[in-house]
Order: sequence, then structure tokens, then C-alpha cells
Amino acid sequence: MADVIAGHDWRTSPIGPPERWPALLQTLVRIMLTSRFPMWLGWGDELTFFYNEAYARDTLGGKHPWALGRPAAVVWSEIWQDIGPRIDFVLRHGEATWDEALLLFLERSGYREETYHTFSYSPVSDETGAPLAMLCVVSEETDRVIGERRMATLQALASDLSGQRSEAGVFSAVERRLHENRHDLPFTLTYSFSPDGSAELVAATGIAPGHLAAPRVIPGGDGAPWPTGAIAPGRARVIEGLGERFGALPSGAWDEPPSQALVVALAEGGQSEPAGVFIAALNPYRRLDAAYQGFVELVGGQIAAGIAAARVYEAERQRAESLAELDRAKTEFFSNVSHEFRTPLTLIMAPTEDALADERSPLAPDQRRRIEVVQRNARRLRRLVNDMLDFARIEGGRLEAEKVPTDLAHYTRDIALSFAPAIERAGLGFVLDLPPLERAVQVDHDMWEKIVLNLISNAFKYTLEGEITLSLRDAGDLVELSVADTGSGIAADQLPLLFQRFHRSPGRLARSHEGTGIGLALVAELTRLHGGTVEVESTQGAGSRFSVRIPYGSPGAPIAGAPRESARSAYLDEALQWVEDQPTELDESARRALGGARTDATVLVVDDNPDMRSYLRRLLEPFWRVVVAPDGARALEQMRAERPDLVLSDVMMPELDGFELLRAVRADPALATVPVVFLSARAGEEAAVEGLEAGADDYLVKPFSGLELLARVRANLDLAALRNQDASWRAALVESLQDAVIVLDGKGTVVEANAAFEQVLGFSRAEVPYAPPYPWLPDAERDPNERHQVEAALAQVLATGELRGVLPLRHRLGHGLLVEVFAKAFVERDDRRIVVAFRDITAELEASAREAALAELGIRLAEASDVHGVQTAALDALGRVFRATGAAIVSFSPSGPAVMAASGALDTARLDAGALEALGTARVSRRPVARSLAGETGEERELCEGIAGVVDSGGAPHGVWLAFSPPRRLRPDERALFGVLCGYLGQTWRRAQLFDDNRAVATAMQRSILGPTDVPEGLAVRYLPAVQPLEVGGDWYDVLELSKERLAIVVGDCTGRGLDAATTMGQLRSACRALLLQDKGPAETLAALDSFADLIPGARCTTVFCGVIDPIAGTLAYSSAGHLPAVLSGENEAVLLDRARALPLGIAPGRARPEAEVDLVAGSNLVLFTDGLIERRDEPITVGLERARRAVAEHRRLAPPDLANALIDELVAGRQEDDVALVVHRLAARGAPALEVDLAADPGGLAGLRDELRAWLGALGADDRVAAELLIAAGEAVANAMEHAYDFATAERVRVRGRIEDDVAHLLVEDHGTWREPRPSSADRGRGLAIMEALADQVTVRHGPRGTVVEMSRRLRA
Amino acid sequence: MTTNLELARSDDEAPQLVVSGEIDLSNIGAFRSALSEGGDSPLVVDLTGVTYLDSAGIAALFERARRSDLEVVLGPGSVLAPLIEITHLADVATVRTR
Repeated sequence: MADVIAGHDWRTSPIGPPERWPALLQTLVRIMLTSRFPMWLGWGDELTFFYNEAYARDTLGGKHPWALGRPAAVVWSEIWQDIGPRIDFVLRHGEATWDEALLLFLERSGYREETYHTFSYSPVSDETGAPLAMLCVVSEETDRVIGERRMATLQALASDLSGQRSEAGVFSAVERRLHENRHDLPFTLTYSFSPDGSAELVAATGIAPGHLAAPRVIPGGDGAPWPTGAIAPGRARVIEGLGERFGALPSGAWDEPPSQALVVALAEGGQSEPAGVFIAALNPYRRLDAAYQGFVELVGGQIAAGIAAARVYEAERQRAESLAELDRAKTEFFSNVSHEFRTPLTLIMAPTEDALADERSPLAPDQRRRIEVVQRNARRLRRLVNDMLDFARIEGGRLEAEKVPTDLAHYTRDIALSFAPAIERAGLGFVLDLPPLERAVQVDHDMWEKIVLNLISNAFKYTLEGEITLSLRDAGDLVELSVADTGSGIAADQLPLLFQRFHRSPGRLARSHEGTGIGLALVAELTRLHGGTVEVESTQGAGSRFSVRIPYGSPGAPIAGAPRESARSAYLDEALQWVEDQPTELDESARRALGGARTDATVLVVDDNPDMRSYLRRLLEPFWRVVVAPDGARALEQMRAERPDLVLSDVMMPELDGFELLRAVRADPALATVPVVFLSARAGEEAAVEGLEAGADDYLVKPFSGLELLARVRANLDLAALRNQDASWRAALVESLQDAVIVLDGKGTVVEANAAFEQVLGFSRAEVPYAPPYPWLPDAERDPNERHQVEAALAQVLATGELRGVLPLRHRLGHGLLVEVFAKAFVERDDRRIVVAFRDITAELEASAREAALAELGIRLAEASDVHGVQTAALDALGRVFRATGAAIVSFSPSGPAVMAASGALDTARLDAGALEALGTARVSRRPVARSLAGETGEERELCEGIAGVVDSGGAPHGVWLAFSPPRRLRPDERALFGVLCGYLGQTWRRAQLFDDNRAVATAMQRSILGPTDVPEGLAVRYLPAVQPLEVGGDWYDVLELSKERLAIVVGDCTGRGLDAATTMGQLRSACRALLLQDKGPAETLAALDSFADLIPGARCTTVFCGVIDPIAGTLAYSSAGHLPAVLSGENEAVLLDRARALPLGIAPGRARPEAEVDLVAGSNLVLFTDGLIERRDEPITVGLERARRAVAEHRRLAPPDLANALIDELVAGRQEDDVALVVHRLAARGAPALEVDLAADPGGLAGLRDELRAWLGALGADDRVAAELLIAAGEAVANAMEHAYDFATAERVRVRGRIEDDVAHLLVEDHGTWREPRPSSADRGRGLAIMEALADQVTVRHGPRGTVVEMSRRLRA
Repeated sequence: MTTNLELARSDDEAPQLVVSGEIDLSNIGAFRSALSEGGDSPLVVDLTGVTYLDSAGIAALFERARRSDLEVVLGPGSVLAPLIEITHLADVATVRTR
């Protein structure tokens, strides 16, 4: 360097040649040159550039030696913007600067270079402090900085990648970390090769995927835009000219985009095929040197390693997954094997066993042999399956020894003995040396059994003669079981292999060469599970000895004994068949051993497999009654209909499976105690425990031995029977009761009911439970009181638990009944229950009601005297006795039964066809006929709508009909009673009929001797006999029309009263009549009667008053035979007609009698009477007479009828003691003619009628006004008749009659038509009537079927 | 023998129907047609000369009274007065006694 300085041409430099340099400068240069540290010096204003070798080498680079002597600003022009200010600062302030690792882009190598320098600028000044020069000491840090940077990236990347388990993780780690160093890696691309040779972009930093330079996929081989395919592992490839290739590119951490990239293959050491490529864009400010390339390659290598590791991990994971999958498949297979194999196995073995055991139709020898083959092989198969399953479980670690403390000697003996039959049959000796051990051994029973049986079986197989010895020894902490035989022994080289799975020693002499070779391996495994060991000693040809040693074990947690499949029978059976036996004999003896089983039990078999069902049925049928169901749902139905004693059910079934069935059974209080035994193909204690915990009573695994099944069924039945003894006793007791018995729970729900319940109420037991409100309560709407009564009783019984009383209930068919109820509470299994017994006492109550009604019927019928009374009493009482809603008595007319009397509902309703038919039938059959409902059920048909009976009253029969609504049952005794009552009714009727007949006769007879009631105009008669019910007495009256308009009136009084007097009277009256008709006068008549009276007993002393009225002459001639005088009223007074009195009849016959005559004035009242009218006990007759006379006088204006009533009212006044006869006569005014007009129904005739009426009224002396008004009234009536009755049919006639009576004109308008319905203009008709009523004093209109009569009257003078 | 019935009309002021004689079913038709003449104008019916009238005649008067104003004239002490009164003809027509 010194040489360079010396050799430099300093003449052009401002500092001149070195000779003239200031001493300071020279010193500085000297210092600088001697330092090994890179330095430069800037002297003078221009900062003339001096430097040392180190600087030239490290920092200047290509600028040496050009830079010497130049101004510093020129030398470092590219960085002058950075260092210039610093230098300035130094020179100005005289302070040094310090910069560490400052990034400076030096162009010393022909390109802008990223460099890092640590430097210090220090000022050099003279004494005055004025700056003279600047000294720079600098050391380059570039390599360090960059190196550190790259290292950081590598380290971070390495650490991130190490944790990645997946390629995706690798790539994201790559992206994360490489992104942090966009100085060295402005952008990177990582491509992963796909199987098809294309490359997929999996990681990109510093550039967006999809950029031209960063395609997502680079198709294989092509190499565009990156030559992915052509990279060999370990060789990187430089790609130049990125700008031309891709245009604009991201520049990472710089401001200039990279122009170079390096492509590295991603391949881990050893891999020939790269997994992908790593493309790194390069720092434009660094040359790609070995370090840089090495860095990129390292990055690539890490990525490759990461990818490889991830892939390995992935592969590992998948392997693990497929292993697990395999495991799962295996497990599933094994559990399915259990089910799938076992069920068919059962169904193969069972029928074969049955076939072999069948005694009724035994197999032919050929068939037997074949079936035996089948059986043998089925057994073999079963054993194989079981062993394999055991093994699978052991392997899977699922088999655990469930150790229970066991008396091992006893147990082992048990097991051994089960094998004994075969050994015996084979003629081998069997020695059991099993002394009791001092303590219990913890063993799994099942496993121990298998161990023992396997060893014995093995010994048996290979021992053809001699003996097998079983011994058990205590060996300190262990128990030793040894099985020794005198068999063919085992070769020494086979001994180690003996316990291997599937190993079978070849060439051994044996009974059979069957076997899978699992047996001993199983023994070894099972022993191992007990923590024990098994060993074998053997001498070929002499025998073998197997020893099993297991620890006593310590008591662990008690485990619930789960029934496992007993293997004994399988082993035994197999062994037996090696000895050519008849397995069926054993079954038979075993079956005989089962003798004594309950045969009256019912077993319900539930299984969806029909073969299984029929097998089970055949198995169980000889002992018990078997019913079957194909699934749980149907099983439940059947159980509810008929409770079985035991349910044998498969577990896996469609619809309702075994568990659900069990749940339902246990939930139903009526079925909860039925024992349920599960049959399942699911073996293992889990399944069994599950079953038992769900409440099953037992659990059997398929395939099972038939014997075992039978034994278990029997055991469970016995157990259940024991449990249910009380319950069944109670049930039997309850069922036997005639009373209905139900049990209520705490809420009142009926949970049990006996058979009598159905009979009493008609509701089915099968529909229990019944929750309140019960269907047999009275209807709340129809019978609210009864309903309330029953509900109150229910509340009481639920509250207090006791009840006694009578309640009304309803039968299912609707009719009511009365029950006597007793209730009592009790506690059953912590539940409060109430037992209610009730009895139907309706019949009793009805019976007593009926008897009362019958008694009443009897009384009332006895009281009834006439037929009507009988009918009324009968309807009433019969209705009540039979609780009929309606009753009717009918007569049988040609057109059918006609109602004569009815009561109740039939009072207003008519008899329906059913009733009529029944009555008709009864009439013919002469017996009661009940009309039943045409119902569908027998119960319904028992209900009767009614009953018809015949009443024979002697004449034509009559019918009785009783209706029942709603229909009810008629018991036979009721029907019989009805028949009897009809007969009784008939007799009563007959009696009443006779009475009626007699009375009619009497009445008719009496009437015949009574005087006439139809008397002529102007007369009124009254007759009141004294003796009821007689209508006649000793008094009589008579009215007789004689010739020439004369009238005879007579009153008479025979002595005595009653019938005798009446008969006398009748004769006298007739005689009197006859005499009067001969025109004899009163006196002559009476005289003639004297003689007659003499003849008739009891006729003497009869008094008679006889008079003859001559209306023309206006006189009355009279004579009295001892009778009271008549009274005659005049204008103002009344007089007694007491002349012409003589003796009563028959006293002095032959003597002449007097006669008197008196004038009668028109309008005067003549009154004849007998003493009954006036006589009173406590007064003389004259007083009465006077009273009568005064009464007649007072009422002289009254017309005869009114007068007669008035006299009776006043004079008798209800105090009648004697017969009363009364005749009133009023003389009509003569000369007053009556009017009679008969005109055709033609309005034209109205005027004529008016003329006649006018004339008539005028002749009578009527007022003009009155006449005119009466004319209008009458005309109205006639016009009406013409119009409404005849509708102007001129052939018809209207009759008008008029008469005068005491100044009152009476008009009668008569027609014979039919008045039609009121015309629409009823206002008019109303007017007509109003007019008539207004113009006449009295108007009466009488419509009849044969015509109408209008009567009106009007006083002629106001 | 038919009843006499005289119908006279005078047209000054209100038309007037003068009736005399007896009116019964035989001549009610004539009476009615006489009443119906004159359309719906008010009518005066003079019954002073009538000595007999039955419910049919009254009905005819009621009918006429429905169509228009009706005035019925009676003679003093006419025998028809109680008839008119009983049937309440005065409710639908004017009844005047001369």
C-alpha cells in the first residue's frame, strides 16, 4: 500500500506531492498504513482519500487503487447521501460518529452490494480546533450480519418444522419463517410433485400465488415457467433474467426486484425422487456465492426433511388407523359369530336330540345313525365355536377371571363327576383324590371348569385303558391340581409345543383324532388368567401328568354370580360319543328326574324365530301348557288377556324386544310378579347381568341344553309359585266370591277386579285399570243426585279407607242397579290399597218394592167396584210393580188392539208396532209375551221394551201392555209374576164387570119406572131419590098428554123408601097412567087406584095428588088422596090448592073421591110436590107448606125450570132425607100463535120472511122499534144460514120458528147444512154475531153435525 | 119479491148516494156497485130512507170507507143506529144524524 501511495501522481491533487505534506498528514498516513484495521483518511477540504491495505482489501474492492487521492465524495459517491452528513457533522462539530452494522449499498464489485459496516468517523483538527482531516476506522460486518440472518432463518425453520405432523403444517411453517427473511429470500416458491408429474404450489412467501411467477400448478415435464422437472437432487439451478421472464416481480425487503432465482430439488438424503422443488428468488444486492447457495440449499433441505417427516408420520397414522379398523372388524366379527353361530347350532342340535329321544315315533336305525352323525358334529362345532370365542376374548383382553371363593375340592369333584359316566362306560378307572382344602380358593368357576374338563377330556381321549386320576393338593401359597392318566403319553419333543395354539401332537394313539388343538392352549391361558402355571410330565407309552398350579388368591370384591354357559354337558356329550353311547337314555332318565313338575302352569314362549318357537313348545308341552307369541307386543296382549305362570322370551326381537317386554310386564301391576326367563344368544356376563338387573328372573344362553331349560323353567315356576302362594290364595278367595271385589289404589283407580265384577256391572276385567270417574257411575246430567251420592262415597272411601252403604250404579248396558258396598283399606307392598266388595241388591230391593206394590195392587183392586176403577188401579199398580214407564189396557177390536185406558207415558202416546204385535201374540197364546230388543249381543237381546199380557174377564179378552224405557231385563220370575197378576186382574175385572152389569140392570129398571124427563113445553120436573145409589124411591111424578091438548100431572108418595117402595110406586104409577089415559078425571082415577092399591102389598096409604089441565079452557081439575096440596101462583100471590082432599089410597076403596076445579091464568105457575121437598123433622108440615107457598109466590116470574131449581135450593137446601118429586107447570098464553116459516135458501125470500115476522110481532103487540131490531137480528141469522150453511143452494131450506112466552119472543132459525170453515172475512161474520147479540136479549148459536140452530129471544115490550 | 132500492146521485160538491128501502142479500150487489161508482172521491151516503140493513150492507160500507172519505147520514131514531154503533163504522167513516 505504501508503494501505491508513493507511486501515485500527487501533482494534480490539492495536497500536492507527499514531500510537501504536513507532518500531521504524514503521521496519519503512517499510522494508517501500519494498522491492520481498515481505515481511511480524508484530508483537507476535498477530503482527499487515503486508505490502508486492509481497507483496500476489505472495503474498497474494485475501487482500489482508483480511489487513492480522489475526493472522498467521489470515491463513495453511491453512499455519499449516507456518509456525507456524518462526515459533515464530524468536521463541523469535532465529534466522532459511531455506526454499527450500517447497511450501505457499496458498488465496489461492479454491482450494488448489500454491505454492513461498523465504522467511526473521527475528526482531526489542528491546535486551533479547525478541522483538518477525518479519519475513519471501519470494519465490515457484512458476512456476520448476513450470516446471522440466514442462520436465524434456518434455526427458526428447523424448529418449526420439527413439530409438524402434516405436510400442510410443514408448508405453513415454511411460509411463516421464510417470510421473515425476505432479505435473503425476497420471494420463495415451494412446489410439491403430484403423482402425475405436475408440481403444485404448496408454499409461497413474498409473492402472491397465482402471480405469473408463481403459478399454482406447473405441469410436469414442461418446466415452464420454472424448470421443475429438470432438477436433480443435490444440484441447484440458477435461473437468470427473472425480469424478462416474469415482468414485474415483488422485491421482498428491497426496493429492487430480484433478477435471479435458485431452484433446488426437495429430496431428503437417500431419496432418489425429489418430493418437489424449492425456488428461491435471490437478493439482487448479493452475488450468489457458495454461502448463499449453501443457505438456499439448506433451506431446501430442511423443507424436504420436513415433508419427508410429515409423510412418514402420515403413513404411520394411516397404518395405525387401519390397524384399529382391523381390530374393530375382528371384534365385531367375533361377537357376531356368537349370535350367528349359536342360534343355528341350537336349532340343529335341538331337533336332533328330540329326534333321538322321541319314543312315540322313534327313528329307524338307519335314520338314527345319520342323525347321530349330525348330533356329533353339531356338538363338535359348538365346542369349537365356544373355544374360539373364549380365545378371542382372551386375546382381546376382554376375559377376566371372576374369582369367587370356592371350595375347590368340592367343586372339582362336581365337575369330575359330570364326566364320570363316559369314563365308566369306557371301562376306565376314575380316581378322585380331592381332599377338602383348608381354605377357599379364589377361582373363576367357569374357567376352572373348562380347565378341569379340558384336562380330563384330553386324558380320556388318549387313554384307552387303565385309569385317570384327579388330585388336588395344597402347595403352600398355591393349589395344585393334577390330572394323571395311563394313556399313550407324549413324545418329549412335543412337550414344549403342547400348549401352543392349534398344536396337535402327531401320531398319538387316541380314541379320536378330532380336536382343534386349542384345548390345552386354552388351559394355559385360563391358568395364566388366574396367575398360575401349567406343566406337563409325560412318558410315552406310559401316561401323562398335567399339573395346574394357581394361587389361593385374596378375596376381592364380591361379584354377582352370573350364569354362564355350562360347558359340562358339551364336554360330557362329546366324550360320551367317543364311547358310542345313547345320549337319549340320559335324557330320558333326566326327564324322569323332572317328574313331579307342575303341569297346571302356563308358559308363554316369546321368540321371533318360528323354528325356535316350535322347538320350545315341543320341549315344554309334555310338562306344562304352552302358549306362544311371535314378538313382545303380542306377548303383552296375550299376557293381559291371560296371565301366564312364566314367560320364556328371546331377547332380540322386532317390535318389542325382550327388555322392553320385561319393562312393560314389571310396570303392569297385574303382571308384575310373572317370572320372566330370557333366552339369548348374547353370551357373557355383561349380557346376563344386564338381563337380571332389568328384572329377569333367569337368563339362559343359546345354545342351551333342553334339560337345562326344563330344569330352569321348573325351578322358576316353583319359585314363583312359592312367592305367589299367598297371592294366589287371595286371588282364589276373591274369585270364588259371589260378590264383586275390586281393589283400588291410593288414587281410586281400579287395579284388580274379580269375575263377579263383570257379572254385576257388565264391564270387562280385561280393561282394568279403570280410573275415576268410572263408567259405571250414574249419569251426571240425568241423575245428578245419584251421581253426587256415589262421588261422595268414593271421596269418603279414599279419605277414610272405610265405607258401608248402598249406592246406585249403572250397568254397562245402561240400566240402573243398587249395590251394597263394603270397603276396607290395606297396605300391600308399601302401597295403600282399598278393597271394595259390593253386591247387587237391586233384585232384593226391587223384590220388596214389588211386594209392597203387589199388596197395594191387591188392596186397590179389592176396593175398585166397577170396571173403570179396576182398570185405573191395575194400570197404576202394575206400572209400579214392574217399574214400567207406561201401561195400557186394550180391547181387541177387529182392526187390532184399541186402547181403553192408559197411564204414564202411554197416556198420551200411541202403542207402537212392537207393542201391538206383542199384544196380538199374547192374545193368541194366552200367555205373557215380552218384547225383546233386536240386539246384537245376547245381553242386549235380553232387554225388553215391554211385556204384553192377556186379561180374561169372562167375555172378550183384554190386553195389558207395560212399556219399559229404557229397555230392561225382565227376569223369569218377573215374567211369571206378570202372568199371575194378569190372571188376578182378569178375575177382578170379571167381578167388577158383574157389578157394572148389575148396576146397569138396576139403573135401567129404575129408569123404567121413573117418570118422564122429556116433558112438554111449560113443564119442569125434578126427582131426587133418597137412597143413593138408587135412582128410584117411593115418590113419583108423572106427566101425561091427554086428548084435546089436556095435560095430566101427578105426584105420589108410597110409604117407605128404597127398593120396596120403588117397586110399589112403579106399579101404582103405571096403573095411574092407564086410568088417566081412559080420560077419567082425577077423582075417578084416584078412586080406581084405591082398588088397585088394595091388591099391591105396601101400596096402601100411598098419597097421590092428581090434576088435569085444560089449556083451552084454562082450567085445572084436581083431586088429592091424602097428599100435600099443590101451590098455584097468580099475578101477585100463590095459593094452596087444598080442596078435594081425601084419604090416601087403598084405605077406603069404593068410596067416591072429591074433585075440584080452578082457573089457570096464563103465566101462572102450578107446583106439585112430595113432602120430601118441605118436610123437616123439627117442625110441623104446615110450616113447610107455608114456606113453599111463599117461595112459589116469590119466584112466580120464573120459568118452570128456574122455579124448580129455586125451590129445591131453598126448600131442600141440601137436607134431603126423603125422596123429592117436583112438577112445575106454567100455562102458556093461548091465542098467541107460533110462527113457522120454512123458506128456501134464496135471498129473494128474505123480504117475504121479514113481512111475516113483522106481522107476527105486530100481532103480539111488540114495539115497532123492537120489532124492527128483532127483524134485523133474525134476518141476519137467516142470511147467514143461506150463505154459510147452504151457500145459496136453493134446494135447501131454512126453518124459522117463533113463539111468544110471557112477553118474550123466542125465535129459532134452523138449518141442516154444514157450516164451512170461517170465511176470510171473519170480521164480517163477527159483525153478524155482534149485530144479533146487540139487537136481541139473548142469542145462542148451536152448531151440530146435522145443522145449526140459532135461538134468540127478546122482550117484546121494553 | 125484490127489495126496493133507490140510488140517486147529485154532483154538486161531494157526490151523494141516497138510498132507501131495504138492503139484504138479494140486492147487496146493486148496493155495492152503486157505492163503487165515483172512483176514489169522497162520497156521502144518505141512509135516512133505509129500513133494513144487515151485516153484508155494513161490510160494503166498510169496504167503501177504505177507498176514500165516506160520510154516512142517518135519520133521527133510525133503526140502523145501534147497528152502526155496534160495528164501529164511525171509526172509519163520518156518521151524521140528520
